[in-house]
Order: sequence, then structure tokens, then C-alpha cells
Amino acid sequence: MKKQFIAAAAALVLCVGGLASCGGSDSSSKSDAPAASSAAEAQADVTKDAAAIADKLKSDVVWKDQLNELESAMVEKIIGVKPDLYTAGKVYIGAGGATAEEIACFEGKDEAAADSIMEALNKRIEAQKKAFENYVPGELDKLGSAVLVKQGKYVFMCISDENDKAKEIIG
Amino acid sequence: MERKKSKVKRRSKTLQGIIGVFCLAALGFVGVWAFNNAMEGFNASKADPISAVSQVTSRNDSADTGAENASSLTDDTSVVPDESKSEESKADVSGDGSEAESEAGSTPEETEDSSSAAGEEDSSSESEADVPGDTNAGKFPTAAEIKDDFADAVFIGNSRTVGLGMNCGKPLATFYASTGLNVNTIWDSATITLDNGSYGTVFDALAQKQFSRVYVMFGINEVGWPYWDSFQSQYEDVVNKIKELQPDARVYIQSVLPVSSLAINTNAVFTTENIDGLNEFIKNAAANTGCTYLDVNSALRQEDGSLPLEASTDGIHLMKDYCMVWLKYLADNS
Repeated sequence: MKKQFIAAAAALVLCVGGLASCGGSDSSSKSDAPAASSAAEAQADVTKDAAAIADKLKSDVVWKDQLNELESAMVEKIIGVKPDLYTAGKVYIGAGGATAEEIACFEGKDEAAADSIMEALNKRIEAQKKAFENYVPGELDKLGSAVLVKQGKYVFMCISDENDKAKEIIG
Repeated sequence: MERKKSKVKRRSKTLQGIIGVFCLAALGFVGVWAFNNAMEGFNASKADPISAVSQVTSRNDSADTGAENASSLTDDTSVVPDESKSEESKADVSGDGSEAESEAGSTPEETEDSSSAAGEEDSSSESEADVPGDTNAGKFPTAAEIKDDFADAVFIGNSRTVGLGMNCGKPLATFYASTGLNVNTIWDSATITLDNGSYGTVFDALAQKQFSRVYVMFGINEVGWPYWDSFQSQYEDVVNKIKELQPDARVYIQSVLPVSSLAINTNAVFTTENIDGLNEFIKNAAANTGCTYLDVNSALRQEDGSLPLEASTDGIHLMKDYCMVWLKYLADNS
């Protein structure tokens, strides 16, 4: 009887312990909830790393040209995007003249700025089309199907022969 | 007595069973709790915001002294071996664009480093500091090392000059250059972005403001012309027009840069022999127009007169590092 009592008590302790743990994890998960939701909010605020995406485009897409990072001081001059429109970004350009291959990824200051960046990049593509139309018709295909997307305050441009790959990387 | 014993046995067995069930239930609870906690921990780590690394600063006064930048590109390799034999000045030689399809891809996935590839001698490269991402860090000049900001200068030419404009890191320099431009099409080709945002010719652009220095380079698109004296004559016309529009500027006529053996893939006219031959006519044009001849070809050629293989993916358009060698030559010699 004594043994049975001890066995029953031990079983009860285990059950209570288990329930308490679950309850504890519930409560701990409740206390973690604010942190989790703020992390989610933060994630919603920063959903893209423009520079990292530019790097991935450069490394994962096959290029004919050799791409080099464009110095920040040259971005407005070459690409036409003013520095006061973005907080982060990266541009890769080719050797110039051989191909129209290019990458430009920006995190705009806000959505309105991103719209302006889109406009500038559209102008860039049109200028390139004009430059290449009579001399390298093959590049017109790339320019005609250039990947240019705006996602919130982010803008991504990729002029290459692998548009599907580029879109996959940009997400 | 026996009955009592078996009753007790049965009871204890039942109790043992119940206890066993409770133990299993308890184990089950503990297992589920541990799993839940483990999953939460995993999800929490995935939810960390990615830090955005800002690669491009948002402040700079890059100026752009006139918006006329080199963004109008061109594909130089639109040289046309015009078999028509017409030789009048401004003979219409239209680029068929075939050369333009340069199979630039011999080493498409190269990193920023240009000369790591072959260990070939690279031409006169001084070199110091680092080029970002360049595995030949220290071998080529950087924009920072070239003190001349070329703020008072304008560069006129074809797609090689476009490439210089894109890669030189000199935001204050002005580039009126366009892919495929030659000494014939320069008169009518409205591919230069003017200050007002519209498109115009090189001469329209030159009429907008005065520069102290004008660097001109043509020739790669004309090397296939049948009559080089016609090329020289047209080049002189172009230079004279430039001088008319920029009366106080020092005008520099640059020799045509060398080509590597890859250029043959674009067009058979792109040989060192042809380049060197055409440069003699360019030298004459400079002399006849009273301009300074800058032999930039000498800064980039190897012993055999060709461009190093690693300097270009298509044998014609220079990679960034070699653009800097070109620019340094100009800074040191003008």
C-alpha cells in the first residue's frame, strides 16, 4: 500500500511537473510575444538589403561584361539617381560600350523617393536604348526586357540576359 | 484467504496500470513542451531583422557640372569595312553593328580584378592603393591617387570614352561620348544629353559651356575604313569645329588605344598593325590642326603592341583598372 502510494505520488508529481512546464512555456511564450511581434515589425520595416541583393545579382547572374561597383560619387552622374533619394544602395556597371549590362539596387528614403528613383532608372534605360540602338542591336533585347521593380521603398534594376534569375534573386 | 489475495493482486495491477498511464502522459507533456520551446527558439532567431549595409552614401556633391554625362553609350565596335570605295569627306560609312556583337564573354565572371587572370605583363601601370574588390590591389592607380579632377576638361569620343567616363571615378569631368560615334556621324548623331535634358550632338553640347581642356579620341570605329586619308581629313574637320566652339581650350588628340587578340573575334580589322597604322594618320591630324598629340596607346600596349588580354573582355573596351591607367597617363601628360 505504501509502495502504491509512493508510486501514485510520483506519477502525480510528473504530471504536475509536465503541466507546469507547458504552462511555463506558455507564459514564457506570452512574455516573448511582444519581442517576437516587434521583431516581426522590424522585419516588416526592413525587408530588403539592397546592397546584398546587388551583390547576389552580380555573383549569381551570368554576365558577358565585367561589372565593377560604381563609386557613390558617380551614381548621380552615370545613373541619374540623386543621393538625397536613397539611404542605401549599390550600383554595378560594365566596362562601358561593350554591353548595357548593369545592376542598380536602392533603398529609397520613402516610397515617394522610390518613385523618383524608378523614374530616373527608366530614363537611364531609355538613354541606353538610344545609345545602343544603331550599334549593338543585341543589347536592345536586354534593355527592352530589363528587370526594373519597385517594392515599397526599394527599387531594383538588373539589365542582363537572365531576367528570370534576376527576378528570383530580387524576390 | 485466497480470494482476498487475488483481489489485492488485481487491485494492485490496476493501480500499476493507472500509474503507468500517468507516467506516460507526463512524459508526453514534457516532450511536447521541449519541442515547442525548441521551435520557438528557432523561429525567434529567424525573425531578427537583417541589417542593411549602406554601400552608397547619400551625401555627395558630385556636381555633375552639366548633366552632360557619358551615359549615352555606344558600342564602338561598329566599325565597318566599307567596301564602297567612296572617299569624299564625310563619306557615309554606317556601322553595321556586326562588330558590336562582340562576344565579350571570354571571362565573364571575372571579379573586379582585371589583371589577375593571366599574369601577362600589363603595361605601364603605376599603381598604388587599393581598388575595391580588385585582386590586384596596389597594381593600378585609383581615382583618389590621380589628383587631377578634370573639372575643367571634356572628353569626346566613342564607347571607349564612354567606358572611361563610367569607370574613372571623376564626377567633375564631363564626357560627351557615345557608343559607335565616329568622325562622320558626330555631326548628326543626337545622342548626347544636353543641360536642358534633351538630346543633341557633341557640338550642341560643346556650345553650352567652355572648357580649358578637350580630350578627343576617335579611330576604333574607323579603322576598317578603306581610306585612312579620308578619315584623317574628316578628323581634322571635327577638330577644327571643336576649336571653333572652344576657342580658349587646349585640345588634345589621343592615339587609338591598342586592342588585344580577342578583338579579332569582333572584326578582323582590329589588329595591332591596323591600329598602329591609323595612329600615324591621327598624329598627322593633330599636327595639321595645331593640337597636341597624346600617345595614350603607349601607356597600355605590351611589347608586341597589343593590349593585355586581361585588360578587356572583348579586346576593345577597357576594364576599370586599365581605364585608370589611361586616365593617369592623361593626368601626367597634359
